Amino acid sequence: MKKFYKISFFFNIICIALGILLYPLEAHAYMDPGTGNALVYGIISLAGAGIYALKNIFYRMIAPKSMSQTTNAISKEQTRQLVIFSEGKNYWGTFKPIIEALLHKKIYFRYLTQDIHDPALLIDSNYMDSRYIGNGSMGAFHMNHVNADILLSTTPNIGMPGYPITRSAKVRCMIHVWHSFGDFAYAWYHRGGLDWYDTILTTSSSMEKQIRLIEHKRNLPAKNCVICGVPYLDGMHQKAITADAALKNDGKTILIAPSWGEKGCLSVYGTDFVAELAQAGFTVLIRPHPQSLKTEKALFDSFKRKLAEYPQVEWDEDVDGFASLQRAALMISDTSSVRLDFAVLYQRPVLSLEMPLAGLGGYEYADLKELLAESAMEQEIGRKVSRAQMSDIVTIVREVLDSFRPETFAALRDKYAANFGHAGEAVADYLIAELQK
Amino acid sequence: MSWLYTFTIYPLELIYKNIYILCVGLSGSYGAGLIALSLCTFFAISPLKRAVSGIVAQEHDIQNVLAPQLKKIREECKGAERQARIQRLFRRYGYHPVMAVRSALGVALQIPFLLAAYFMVEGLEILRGQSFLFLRDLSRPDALLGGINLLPLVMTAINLATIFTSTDMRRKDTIQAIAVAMLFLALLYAAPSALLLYWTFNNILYLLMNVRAFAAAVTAVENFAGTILTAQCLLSPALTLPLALLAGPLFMWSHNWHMYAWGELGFALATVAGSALLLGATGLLPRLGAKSRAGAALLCLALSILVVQGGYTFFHAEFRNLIPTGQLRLFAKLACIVLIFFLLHAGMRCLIFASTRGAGARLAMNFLLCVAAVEIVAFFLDFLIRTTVQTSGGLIALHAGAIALCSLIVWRFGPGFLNIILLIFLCISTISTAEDIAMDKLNSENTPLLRTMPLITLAEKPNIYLFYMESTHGFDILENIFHMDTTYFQKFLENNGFKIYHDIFSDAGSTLSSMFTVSTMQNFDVGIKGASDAAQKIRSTLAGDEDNVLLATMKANGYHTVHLLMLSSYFFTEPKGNLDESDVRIPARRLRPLRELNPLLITQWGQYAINHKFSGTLPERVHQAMMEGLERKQPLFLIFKGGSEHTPWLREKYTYRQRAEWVASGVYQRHLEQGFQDAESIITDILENDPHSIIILMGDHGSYRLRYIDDGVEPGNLSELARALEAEGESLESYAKDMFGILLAIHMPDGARDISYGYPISPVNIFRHVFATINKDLSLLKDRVPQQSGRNPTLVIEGIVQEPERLMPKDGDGGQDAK
Repeated sequence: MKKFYKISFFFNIICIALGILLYPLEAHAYMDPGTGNALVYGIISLAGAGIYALKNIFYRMIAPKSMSQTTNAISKEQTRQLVIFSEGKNYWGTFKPIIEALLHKKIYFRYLTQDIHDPALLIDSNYMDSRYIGNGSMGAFHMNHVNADILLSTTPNIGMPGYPITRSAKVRCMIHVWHSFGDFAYAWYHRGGLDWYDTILTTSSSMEKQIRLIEHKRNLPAKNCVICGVPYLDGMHQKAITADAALKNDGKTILIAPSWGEKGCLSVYGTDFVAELAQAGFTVLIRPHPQSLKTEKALFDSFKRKLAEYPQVEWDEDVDGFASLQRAALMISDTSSVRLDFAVLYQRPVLSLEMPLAGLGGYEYADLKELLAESAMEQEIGRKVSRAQMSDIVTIVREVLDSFRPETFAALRDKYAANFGHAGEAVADYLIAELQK
Repeated sequence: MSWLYTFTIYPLELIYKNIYILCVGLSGSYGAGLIALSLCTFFAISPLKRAVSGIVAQEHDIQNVLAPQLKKIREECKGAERQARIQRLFRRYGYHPVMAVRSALGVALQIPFLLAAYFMVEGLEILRGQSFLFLRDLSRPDALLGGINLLPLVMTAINLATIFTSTDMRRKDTIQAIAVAMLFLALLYAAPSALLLYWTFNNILYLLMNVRAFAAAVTAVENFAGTILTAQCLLSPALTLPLALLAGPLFMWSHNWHMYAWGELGFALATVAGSALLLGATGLLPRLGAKSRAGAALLCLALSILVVQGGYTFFHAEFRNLIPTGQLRLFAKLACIVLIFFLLHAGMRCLIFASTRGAGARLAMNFLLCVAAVEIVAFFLDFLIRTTVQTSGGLIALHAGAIALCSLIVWRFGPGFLNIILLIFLCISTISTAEDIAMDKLNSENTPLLRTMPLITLAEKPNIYLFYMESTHGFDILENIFHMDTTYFQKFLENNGFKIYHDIFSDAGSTLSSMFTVSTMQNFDVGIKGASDAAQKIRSTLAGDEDNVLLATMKANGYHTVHLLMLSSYFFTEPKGNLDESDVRIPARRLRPLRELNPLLITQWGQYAINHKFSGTLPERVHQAMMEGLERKQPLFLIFKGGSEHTPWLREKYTYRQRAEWVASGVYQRHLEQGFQDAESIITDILENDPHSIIILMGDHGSYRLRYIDDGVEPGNLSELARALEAEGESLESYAKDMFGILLAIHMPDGARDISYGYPISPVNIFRHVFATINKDLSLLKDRVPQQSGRNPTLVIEGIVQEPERLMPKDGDGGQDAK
């Protein structure tokens, strides 16, 4: 088939060339306002491009050293060895500590992103060849043909049938780094999401059990599991340490952090329990998932109207939810991974509301059910609240706050987030070791 | 460059033209058709507009991201370092300054469609003199304000309103847009009203898009369209296919079967295929990959042409007779319009989907490949048909072979859309060819048997000009029936040495057959339809094959032979052995579907097929051929045709019952007056430059004023025919003259002289008389063929109209007639 297309390609070129040669020249002059407008744009753009190109040539002639030093610092061969792929700024927290570690250790690598707002593009380093590859089909096309010894990504589903990004045949080793952690992080990946990865940089030892179970069930080749930790916690931890004292929790502030969609606790339980908490004297911060603000705006507007009479209820729609996390004494959530962020980072309790788990056949959860049934994570970070217990939510919150001991949370870090505070460096060290092989 | 126009604009222009004609047919108004066309375009390109809006937004977005970083670089450094850092910045973002042109994409998107509309309006002769509401002539500027054109001002006002009500324009964009609008007010001021009407209504729609309610309504319509797309897929074949299939079989046995079947088959094909593709467009077939959807997009768009063409033919006037219910017709027409809309809309959606799934580059490449491949296939088939494949069986075998080869490619390499498109084109071509062949059987005409004739050696070799006058009667008929005053022209001819012959009858009833009798100097008259074998043989002979005794004689006597066709594709494809030159070469008719579906082929062959030595009007071309012949210093034999036009062939357009109105309308007379003016100009020119030439002015047949008057009469029954004529106040003589009575005037080198020598001169023998005169040898007339007009029955023999009791049923004697 490829040969057919190659032949077709050259055949096509010949036909077009013949067509060009054989046609007589005629002028079809036509102008209209739209055409003129577009032509003006085109002329201006071409003029700008022309000036830019001429400047390049000019400076190459008069200052070749300056131009080559700053424009040609990284060779293709150097950056081919390690490629980092990111879907966008939402995952900058995961990659930032890794990139900083790599740059500190003067390792050459290439960074590919599908988001022009990715902060990584602001970095101008001689060791980092960062590129915006376009979003949608353009980005997928680029990734499908990327050439790399090692490809590091936090994106699941790469290589899955139907997913736009396939595993490039020119990638020797594909490594996955997590952007969430805990016992349920793998469960919420689509079924087969990591099947095409070669190496998983796990966040804890418990995660490897899950990976081996999946491999066993699906008869997959064994992956290389390396415990590195959770890189995005590095930055959050730094921020928490240097946080503004005014943002410290007062012991009476509850943060509600629902997931988006049908798995969101507000969608399932409504706002009655929020009203009860407010009436009980708590300050309630509600931080909708960013995706909810896009796809469920009408629903959340209705929630706001219902809770408008309670001045103690505050809404946090900031992109960076750090302030809310900092202020909260307790978090109420559902299955969101932010629960573990809160518990591990701030060492404060979390109430996990029971969520219906029907229709999860397309997720890894279906194959991890037995293992997850043994998980005590939700009890370790606070308490699980069943549907029947929702009427006593205020009592439960008071009980948990009263019985909460920060020292009991210390072990969580070791259990769920290895290399806490320097996971990025751990990842970088592993990548360097792999490059040297 | 025209190749750029052909590849990009012409396909759209073709679609526009066909949709427009359909809209005109539906609305009954040329102006309303333009508005309907504007609406169709507006909705059809809306998916594309949305996609382009996204690209424009991306460009603005990236400019906003780069701006502060560029500012920082400019503040921090200069010179080479600045340039290097900027270069690195652009490289990181995959940006280049030339990409700023994307900001204009939203506007640029409209350019191909506007250009297509412009060229369409410019090339539409039918708009001349057509009015709409207060616009007197759509082909000219409106001049409504005391000589000042109003529409350009209205258009500009709407433009400005759109600019000022747009919320997403930056200040510099606004200033620029205003300046451009003013500038092009001047440029478009003198444009035809039709174009301004289309463009103004287009602008009104875009202006209304700035009104939230309207925009919401448009979105609702598009969402509704998307929602019922599935239902439409089911409804479309349910509604339109039965209508199409019903019409086809019912017309199978009609002599107009050819036109109908093509329309019906095309329509059915488009309906079924279009519906299937729409299913794909809705995403109900999830296995369709990006490449297949790209192919589906192209097929949707191509099939739109087919639907329009098929629909146009399908809803031809003949359909009215079959299903007289106006509501059903209207319903079917609306279904056709809806189908076109959905096809275009779905095609655009498929196209955008495919391009956003990484198949953009492949799509563009494969599109060009597809066009090139079809072009090559069409060229190859055309070459074979023109040179070797002359029979029906051979043609079918050729198409079958091509389809088999294409099917093999599909089986071996997979159903890539290139292969599918080729396959569809070949199938359409085969269907059309099969129709032609089936029609041949209806006509049941045999290829004429021709006698071998010895070639005559001429004693002298004056230049000879053979001027056919289409449908031109003798002067008596023109005066008595058509009330034309031909005195002036008769005097002109007489004063210039012409001998006018009266009561002359042609030997055949059609142009092709009449010219054939002249060329072969034998009697032959068949009913010629379309591309039957008999017609193809006649065309081959007219082109100069070995049976063209006239041209063979001329060539044998050292003449340079030229036949001017005035770009007509009706007569023959290209000169053959005995014809040295023509002014055009046209592809075979049987490639019509390929030609009409492939604009490249049309224009390419159209350009290539013209002999640029001859150009301009008929008198100009004759002058060019004459002067070139005089310079060549070789005797010249030049054939050309002018004259008038006969009544329409189609029963629904004209029957004998309308003869009084047709005569009174003056259509025939006006054409003939122009024909006489051309003749006068040509004859004057010839006699000035070539006074010792032979000029033959001859009608090919009559005007067919009494067409279809013999309906229901038993073939060959002259008595019954006479009675039918009498009932209409006509006679066998008037009937014979109507079909066969022609003009004949001859100028010989030594002036006006009668070269009939007592025989009833007619086209079949005319050159026998001419040669006999040149050679001064009347023995050449012994070989003359009896003059006969008509078949089954023969109406005229040797210039005498037959009476019923003297009828001799046709049995093939006295000439080479065929049933």
